[in-house]
Formats: sequence, C-alpha cells, structure tokens
Amino acid sequence: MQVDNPPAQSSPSILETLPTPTLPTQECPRRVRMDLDLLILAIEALDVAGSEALLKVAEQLGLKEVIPGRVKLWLIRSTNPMRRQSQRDPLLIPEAKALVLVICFLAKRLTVVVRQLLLGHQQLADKQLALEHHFRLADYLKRFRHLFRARMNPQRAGVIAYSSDEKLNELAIVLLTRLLFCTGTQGAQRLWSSLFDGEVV
Amino acid sequence: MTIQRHYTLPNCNLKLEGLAPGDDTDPMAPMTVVLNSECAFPGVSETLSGGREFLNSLIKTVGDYAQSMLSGVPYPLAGEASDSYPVTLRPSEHHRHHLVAMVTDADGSTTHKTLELNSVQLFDLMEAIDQLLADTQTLPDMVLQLSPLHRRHARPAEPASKRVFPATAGLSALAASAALLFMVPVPEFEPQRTNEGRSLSELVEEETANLAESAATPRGDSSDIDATDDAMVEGNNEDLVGGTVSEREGAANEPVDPVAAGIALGRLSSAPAIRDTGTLNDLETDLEMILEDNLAEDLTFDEALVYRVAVSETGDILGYKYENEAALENADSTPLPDLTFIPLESEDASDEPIAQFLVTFEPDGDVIANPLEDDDEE
Repeated sequence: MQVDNPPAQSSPSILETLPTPTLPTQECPRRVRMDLDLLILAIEALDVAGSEALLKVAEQLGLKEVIPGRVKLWLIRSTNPMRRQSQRDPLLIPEAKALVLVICFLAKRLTVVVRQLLLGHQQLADKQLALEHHFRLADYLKRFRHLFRARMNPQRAGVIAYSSDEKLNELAIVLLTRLLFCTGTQGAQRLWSSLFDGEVV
Repeated sequence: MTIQRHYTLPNCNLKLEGLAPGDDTDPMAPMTVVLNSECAFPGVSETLSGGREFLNSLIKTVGDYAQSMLSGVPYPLAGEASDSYPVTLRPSEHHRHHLVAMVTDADGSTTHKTLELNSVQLFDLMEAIDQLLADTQTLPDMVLQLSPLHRRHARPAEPASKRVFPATAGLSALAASAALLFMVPVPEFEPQRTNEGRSLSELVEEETANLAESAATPRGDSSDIDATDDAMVEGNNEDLVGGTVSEREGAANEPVDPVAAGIALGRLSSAPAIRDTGTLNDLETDLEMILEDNLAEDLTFDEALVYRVAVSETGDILGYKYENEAALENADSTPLPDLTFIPLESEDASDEPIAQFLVTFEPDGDVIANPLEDDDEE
C-alpha cells in the first residue's frame, strides 16, 4: 500500500490538559515569551543542572516531539525579546504548553528550596537585614543576576529597567514566588491561565 | 451525619464541617453541604471561620489573587470586605499580603479580622483550597474555574500620563524652537554683481583677475620690483583663461567687459610708464574729453565712480580697473567698456609705454582724471 502523506503528527496528549486560549493570533504574546524564559532562568539559578534537567523532564513527560533537543529548547527560549540573540520566530501554543508543564514539574521538585528561600527572604525583610545574610538566598540571587546579565540584551528597554542589583534581586524574588505558586496541585493550570491574563479576546 | 475534612499544609490548615446526603452507612458519601469552615495559620492566633458564603468568597478571592501574583496583572478584586464579599486580599509591603475577612461571631455580631500573610502562607492557603476543589469527596459541585483575564483588564506597561509625556515634550520642544527661530531675522539676499547671468567660465576669469590684481597692487604697479613674479602670475592667468581672453581681444570693437579690461590692466603693470609731464598732461586732457563726450545723457549712478585707467602714448585706453564698489557695479554706465582697446598681441603690447590715471566719474557728469605717479608711491 502506498502512503502519500506521513502520518499526521498528533500533539502529545498531556498538552490537552491545558486549554488553548482564544487569542487574536495563533502566536504567543510577548509577555508569555518573556515570562516563560525568565521562569526557566530562575530554575537554572536554583539548580545548577537546571537546563539539563529540563530536557530530561521533557522526555519523561513525553514531550520529545515538541522539545526534541537542546537546540530546539534554545530556539524556543530565544523567542524572549529581551535576549541578546532574540529571534523573531513565533512561540507556538504547543511549545508554550510544553514549557509550562516542564516548569511546573521542575518547580515541584524544587519546592523545598523555594519555600526555604522565600521564608528566609521574609525573615530578612522583617528584620531589615541585607539579603547576603542568608547564604543560600544570596547564592541564588547572585546566580540569577549573572545569568540574566549574560543572556539579556542590555540595550533593550525591558532589560534597562533591571540595570541595578536591587532591581534584579527584586525580579528574582518575584520569579521565586511565581515558582512557588507553580508547585501546587493546580500549578500548571494556574500558570498557564495566568500567562494569558489581559491577552485573550 | 456530620463530616469533617481537613486540608493540612505546613502553614495553613483548612477545616470543613458538613453533611453528607443519604444514610449514615456509606463512608464514601461525598460532603455536599458545608456547615462551617475554619481557616487557621500555625503561629497566628487569629482564625477565620464562616459558612458557605465565607468559603465561596475565600475561594474566589484567593484564587484570583494568586493568578494576579502569577501574571502580574491585577484582578478586579473587591476593595473592602462587605456582606457579599466577606474576604478581601490586597498586597502589602515587604511581599506580604493583607487579608481582611468579615467574621460572624457566635453571638451574631460581625467583626473584621485582618491577617498579614507572607507568600508561603498565602500559597498554602491557595493550595488547601485547590486541594479542596480537586477533591471529589468534598463539595463535588465546586471545581477550579480558571479563565485568563480579558484584554480590557490589561494594565498598560506605563500609566497614561507617563506615556503622554514624551509626545508632549517633543511637541513643546518643537514649538519652542520654532518660536526662537521666528525671532531670528530672515537673511536678506544682496546680489553683489549686477550682471548675474554670467557663466561659470567668466566667474573663473574674474577670480583669476582678482588674484592678479591682488598680486600686483601692493607693489604699486612698479615694473622694476618683482617683475618676474608678476609675469609668472600673469602667465598662469593666461593659461587659465587664455582661450576666452584671446577671443575677446580679437573682437576689439566689441564693448570690453570689466573683467577682461582688468586683466589687460594687470598685464600692463610690467609696461614702462610715461614719465614726460607734457605728454601726461595732454593724455589727461584727451582722456577727460573722450570720456565726457561718450558719457550717456542720463546717468544711472549716484555715487562717484573711481577707476584706474591705463592709456597708451597715442591716447588709447588699454585697460581699466574699478577702485570702489560703485565703480564695479556701474561699469556699464561709463563709456570705458566701449572705448577700451585691447591689442591682439598682448605680449608685444606690454612693451609699449603707458600712463595710468585715476579717473573719477561724478554723478553730475563731470569726469576728472589724475595721473597716477609711480614715483610717489615708491
């Protein structure tokens, strides 16, 4: 029997757990691309082997079709307009869904660290102590600042807003809080829905 | 049968008391009616409790607030706790969250209870609620309902006043610069030459003529000082403008234009001067007569025109050069261009002795010629 067309690629069924929002276009809005990349950046700052773990988790979740390897992962993350090597290719909905699932999976793994860091940060803020007093937190912030500055284009207006250490620390804490909210039972649904806040029509 | 459900997290305990329908024998019957719900945070003395309405409001408020924390887009939440919305949440300083709940006491009076939650406590509260919603054994009619905010709720990246500012600044800067430039007077164009329609080659001629003049004049036209130098400059002039000049020299009966006449005068600077006083006087009288006779009836200038004029021994005008601005502009009003005779063999002619006069055309028609004494200048 002759087959003219390759079998239609069905997207992994795990992606069906996230509803496709009604967007004006079929591409992910700018904020989605930025937020997803920044959340992964925060995971990398928490876990030295973060990006490797990301690929492994993608494979475990059966998302190899969407994220086949590190090059594709890099291309997907480079849709973040803040990046130095930002590319104009759109971020497709299945790719964004896959990233959300992977981020939430990794966040759940890191939940103990995330809670420790946030509680430590809260204690330091209450006592009005410098963030350097919490060794683990200081380490996370330092790594995050380093990764952010190494990868983001300092000419972009969105990046100029984070020119100082204080502002980057603030962003790192906000991302840490978001990661915490991703660790819950409905973390993936909540994160996915939040990405399109103010974007759907 | 009264059923209790506990959702216990490290920083938040949610306890529900309710009823299950049907007979008491079925332990798996879901809890469908909530009688009381209690929310406590370990380490915080205050506990929140209320009925179904309190629970509904808690679920809605905490869920929306959690979404706004995740997205950064503020949800339209009730600002003040009221009967219809007994629970409110708003951000407080130092990453804390301000939770206000209207709680009905046992005696029926309502009080506002305020809690300052940190992010982890808030997350545990949200997680307890999510677990309750995911639990099919408790309130199966309640499920997590998430939908992204509509576009109209999107907060602009910057407030409108901030976005308008650059445009206003640009416009006002433009207006200010326009007002300043309005003050600056428009530069008036004053044509320097009367004969504007001259071609480029003529302009070149004029330039070279001026060069020759400026090289010759400071030395007072004396022939014995730096004569070789002058000759070099003049030679260059001839190289530059030779074609045009020789054409003009060929047409001797044509009116000579001031530039060619000036060049001719410059060329004559190396010619020997006439020193005989008698001859000079005769030439002076002749020159005055010729010029006055040929002067037009109606004079167009109202300022004295001064020219330096070179005259040969026979009384021919060999060249002239303006000495003031009016003289340059009104050269065509004088008979000089018509009378000037430029010999064809200019090299030979330069050996001919000449006399130089300073000729002044008065606006009333008088012509005065004064001999230029080389000796005086030296």
